[in-house]
Amino acid sequence: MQSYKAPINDMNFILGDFLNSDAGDYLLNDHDYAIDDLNMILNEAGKFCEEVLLPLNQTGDHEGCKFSEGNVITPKGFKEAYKKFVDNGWQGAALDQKYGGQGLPYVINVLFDEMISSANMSFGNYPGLTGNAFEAINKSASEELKDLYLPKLATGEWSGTMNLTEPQCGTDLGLSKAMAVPQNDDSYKLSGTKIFITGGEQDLSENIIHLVLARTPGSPKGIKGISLFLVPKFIPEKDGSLGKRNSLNCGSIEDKMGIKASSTCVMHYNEAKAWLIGDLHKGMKAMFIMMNGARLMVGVQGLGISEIAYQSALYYSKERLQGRSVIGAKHPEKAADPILVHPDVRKNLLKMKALNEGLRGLTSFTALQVDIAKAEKDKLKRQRADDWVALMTPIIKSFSTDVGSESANLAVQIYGGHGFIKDHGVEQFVRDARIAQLYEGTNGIQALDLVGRKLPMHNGRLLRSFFHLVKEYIEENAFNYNLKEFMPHLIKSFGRLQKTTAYLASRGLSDPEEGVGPASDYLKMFALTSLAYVWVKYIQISHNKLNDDPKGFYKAKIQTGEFFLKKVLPETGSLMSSILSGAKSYTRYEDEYFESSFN
Amino acid sequence: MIKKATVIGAGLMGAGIAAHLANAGTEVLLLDIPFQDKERKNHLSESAIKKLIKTKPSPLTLNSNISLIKTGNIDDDLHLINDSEWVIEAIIEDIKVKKDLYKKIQNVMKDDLIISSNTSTIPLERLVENSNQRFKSNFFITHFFNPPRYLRLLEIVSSKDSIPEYKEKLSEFCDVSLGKSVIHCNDTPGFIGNRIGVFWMIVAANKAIQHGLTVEEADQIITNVFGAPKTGVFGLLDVVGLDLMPHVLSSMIENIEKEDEYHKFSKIPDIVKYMLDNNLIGRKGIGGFYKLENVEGKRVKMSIDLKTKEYSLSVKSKIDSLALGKKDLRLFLDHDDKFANYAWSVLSETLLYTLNHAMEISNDLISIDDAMRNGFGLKFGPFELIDKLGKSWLTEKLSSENRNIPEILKNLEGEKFYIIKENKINYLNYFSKEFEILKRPDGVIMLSDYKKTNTPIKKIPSASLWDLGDGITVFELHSRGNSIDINTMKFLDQAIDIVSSSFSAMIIYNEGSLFSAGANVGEALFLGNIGLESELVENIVENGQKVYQKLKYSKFPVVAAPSSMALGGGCELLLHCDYIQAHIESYIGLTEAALGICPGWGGCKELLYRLSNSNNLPKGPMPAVMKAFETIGMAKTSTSALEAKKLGFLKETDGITMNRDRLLFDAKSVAMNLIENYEPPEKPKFNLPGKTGLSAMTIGLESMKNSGQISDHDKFIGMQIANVLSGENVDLIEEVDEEYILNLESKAIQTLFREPKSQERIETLLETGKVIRN
Repeated sequence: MQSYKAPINDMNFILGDFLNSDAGDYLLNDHDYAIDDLNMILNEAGKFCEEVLLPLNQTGDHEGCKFSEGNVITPKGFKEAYKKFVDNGWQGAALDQKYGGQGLPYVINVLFDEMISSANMSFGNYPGLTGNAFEAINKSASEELKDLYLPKLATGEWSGTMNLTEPQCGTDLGLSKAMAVPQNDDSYKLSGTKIFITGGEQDLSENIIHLVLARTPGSPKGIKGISLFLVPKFIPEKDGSLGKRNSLNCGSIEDKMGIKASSTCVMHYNEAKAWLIGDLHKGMKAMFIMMNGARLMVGVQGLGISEIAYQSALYYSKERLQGRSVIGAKHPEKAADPILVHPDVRKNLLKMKALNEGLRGLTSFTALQVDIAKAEKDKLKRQRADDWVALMTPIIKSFSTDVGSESANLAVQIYGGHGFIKDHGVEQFVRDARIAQLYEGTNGIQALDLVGRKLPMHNGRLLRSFFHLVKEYIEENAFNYNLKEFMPHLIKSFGRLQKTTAYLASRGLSDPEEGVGPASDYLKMFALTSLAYVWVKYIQISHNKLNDDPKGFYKAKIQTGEFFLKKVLPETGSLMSSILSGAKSYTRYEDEYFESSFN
Repeated sequence: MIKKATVIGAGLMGAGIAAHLANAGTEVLLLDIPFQDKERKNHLSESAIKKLIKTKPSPLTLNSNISLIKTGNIDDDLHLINDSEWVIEAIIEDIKVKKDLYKKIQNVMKDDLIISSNTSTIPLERLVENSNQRFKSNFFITHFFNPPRYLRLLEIVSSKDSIPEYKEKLSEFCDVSLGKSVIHCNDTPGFIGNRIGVFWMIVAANKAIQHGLTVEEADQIITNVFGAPKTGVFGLLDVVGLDLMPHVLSSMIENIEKEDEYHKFSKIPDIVKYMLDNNLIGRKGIGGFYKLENVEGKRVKMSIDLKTKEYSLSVKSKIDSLALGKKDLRLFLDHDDKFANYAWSVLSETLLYTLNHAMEISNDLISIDDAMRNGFGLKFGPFELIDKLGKSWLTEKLSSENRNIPEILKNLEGEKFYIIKENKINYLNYFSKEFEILKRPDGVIMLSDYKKTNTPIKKIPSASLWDLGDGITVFELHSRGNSIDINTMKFLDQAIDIVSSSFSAMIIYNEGSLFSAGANVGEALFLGNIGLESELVENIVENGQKVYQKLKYSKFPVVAAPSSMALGGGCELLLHCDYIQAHIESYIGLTEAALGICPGWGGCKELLYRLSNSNNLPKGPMPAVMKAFETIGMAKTSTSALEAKKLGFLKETDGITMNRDRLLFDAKSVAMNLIENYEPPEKPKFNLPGKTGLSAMTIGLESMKNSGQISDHDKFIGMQIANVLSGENVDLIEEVDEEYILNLESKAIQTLFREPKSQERIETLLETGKVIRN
């Protein structure tokens, strides 16, 4: 059974204890609300997810989106749910107040996104992309375009999409063919076909604003000739009312493995009216604003799935009676003990819990850096926050979605054969989680981004934001008595990460294959070490709260942390040995050997 | 050695040649026609001299060299030419005007006066028509390339009448004292350099227009295929000046045979005509194929569209197929796209032209390759390029296009013009059709030759140790920018052990484009960024100090032979050697402050030591400390080896070599001399001024800061350097050793490395190549 309650206790802990200690100012700066108000907002959001979105998750999966004559029909109940979402003002929660948003911190947005993704990942894609489109337009478009489009996007009356992929170009966007030809009136006529467009067509919002990458006549070849365009489904009048239908249409939708209630469209643009966003040929720059936000959001989807998978598995572990505890019956009054008594089940559950709580902190801390980068006046502090976000985005995207997938599978495992039966709803998590490892740049690409771009960028300046923070934390707390059992784990894996980083940087210079070969392993090491930092901080905070811990929340925190540091973190050791042994065993493997077993 | 010379013609070339003669220590009389104002008859030559001081890059290796140049005018002073041993005529390229001058010279000249013309295109035979026999036998062409100080090629043309001893004397002087790469050419139009080089440029430009390439694309291909400087062809034309091309071309056409391929390219392309009409003549005009424009306060590079003639933002070209040629140029040339077709068309025209005319213009192919390398900055001469392709491939490709195979190529046995035979480099003598051993002139050793026929004693990706024979080793850096990273330093450490146990001396030398850009600061920054400061301190700073000290006190002599830049840690490497034999074009400096740090490998103590022992400074601790502070604090870099002596980087006793090719030989001779009875230097003691010195320097920094000359961070860096040089808390009467100063260096560099503004400086340098003063 899909079982989910918004993890409000943990979110309150993150806002009130974890982030508040060094960042309260940024959370509350220039706003007339307090931490309690933020907690309340999250509470309401949690209820919305539990009550409105969760019930549509399984039915939406069964029914899927339907396509008919260019229109997409979302599953039953989605329209109403979307209307409620818009009416309650959720779309604009974290968006710019100037255009009708509520300007809540990005941290809140991320926590809310997590809950939406847990309750109904398919649904979440529609408003999620709208938020990203809003940010891209707000950052790069002309005042005119902003005034016309942003207020409607902020309410969710209109939605947004991003159009990058074409049949011949996925990761390598330089191969794009879509073409926009300038007209006399500042606008362009855009033609081409884009595929894999999430929400490209749907029946939820009254207008859809597509952000489309295209070249212009005579533009330089490759990635440097790409510009970003705004292409509305209906061309708005000056007053914002819906005008003429633009010449674009949805050709078909994909039949997919998961997130079946989220429409994935083939979009045809046939001399559609379009407007340039940002500078000509600087489309990638404008798009990256959107992509970074989108990548973080996909990471949050991974976390969301992992959380509901955990809760659903926990529910079943308590309900399902099978066998007895190996140290004697725990519930002799029942026919058998609940499977929660079995060490292996407990270990799997705890792994999910420890990763989820750690990732929630890491993601929130990263979201906080987004807020800092926006608000901070000091150039170096702003740069440091920006650097952190750039560094952590591929790590969170990749690692969280791997965790989402792993937790979904662990949940099925805990359900046993029943997990394989659709009625229980947990196999849906496996299917839904899978896409998060693929879209917005596959996880392999994220690892390349980390090692090939983020590591060498500015000679490792991005790394400074992480390594110096943790190093200073370790130096300050090395002799903290409460942490004596925990700190050594962080110190050890941090040292491993430093050495491995130095190794990759120097090896990668002389032999790029040695640098990028172990990229995924390195990304995982980095993620685990980041979580170790988060967990030691959690433990430190929790120790100071033990005097007032009626429900044992802080005790649980410390024990979960201990589990993470002792059972999950040690993987950094094996990852490091694997990385240091070099990449030759696969990079120098002869191509024809791959076929040696059958050819 | 020629002690006195006269240059007639005080234009760009004449003045440049005069300056360079002065650089060699020769007294020069610079004459031009008398100025119309009778009161100031020497005005033309005088103003030419004033211009020399202002010209960048400077034609003078030391501004004071100018005192060696005297001025005059032809009407009054022509008789003074007899005080000289050599007269160089560098007046306008007009045969009639030249001949008129020669007539006047003949009237006054002494019997043993050597005369030469700097003509670039007029054959010698025509210049000496109707001259008397004395003039004919004393007359040569010595063709310098512009600018004379920096461009290494010098073409000498003699005739059957020339006196061999004079030819010998001129060649030797130009080679050894002026540092030129001298080649002897036949008396044919454009000699070797311009005959082939101008042809190459014109073909490259014309074909780019024909093949519809952008200037950036053409330049990238030319740079890659010919190993040309980054300017490619269009950038090079901008440097040379488009206005010169029609003159050179028409002069060539005028003197050259009718069947010559030059005639195929005699028509000036429309775009060039348009540019000439609009004064778009290159860097000395308002722009050329490229130009810099101010857009919103930023300097941006624009380039011209060869078809529409309009300028737009210059976009770096990206030619994927070029990657094919990375390992094997032939793979790219065989590829079928417009880029490869363009490359092949330029290459094939140029190679065919060279092969068809080689025997006519030069006695050997080496001179032709030298001319293209030293006159046009190409990495490979035409014959070296052919060797990259191989005879069979080239013959086949040419035949498939029904082009004639030149005799020289037909006669070549085997695939290449240069071969290794019995451990020696041989080249084809295209007259005898036999291979001959490549002999460098006496006094020349090329490491590049040596590397072709030997294997290193030990090698890592960034450096090698070579056995040069006679117990002499060469430590060669060959990393990017010849920067010194952790591994290179470890390797130097090992190399010292190897030399110590099995050899007698070490020369630190390389033939890269610069000696060393210094420590690999990127590596240091990276380690700092990931919080491995301890490793930074131990493996970079302290280990570097240790190895340099070990080098200094090793039991064998160490000679450094720098050319071009030796900066920061590269300069410190020099300073720890027993002797420096520097190429005159050595740009030496402790430039750390520009990067927000300070010398950390003993640069402070070595410069202090040299300055304290300098005879040019007053005694006592303060003068040396103040001078070192000025030099290090302002990151001063010498513009020549002579200036490096003034700054104290070189000792008065250190040697200077004018000719780049003679540097290794000279260094080896020094090393051989040092081997006998070698004793490591004694460890010096220092008397430093301590607090008093520090406060003097602080006051200086304070006032510079207040007058806005330096930033807050500059002042902070200055304070750290001042602290090291003054010896911190030391008392004036207390002697300190080298280790004391090294410790202060290490402390200062750690402090500075932690400064975000210093990190920003390093980052900016590494990413943009620019030094910022934040």
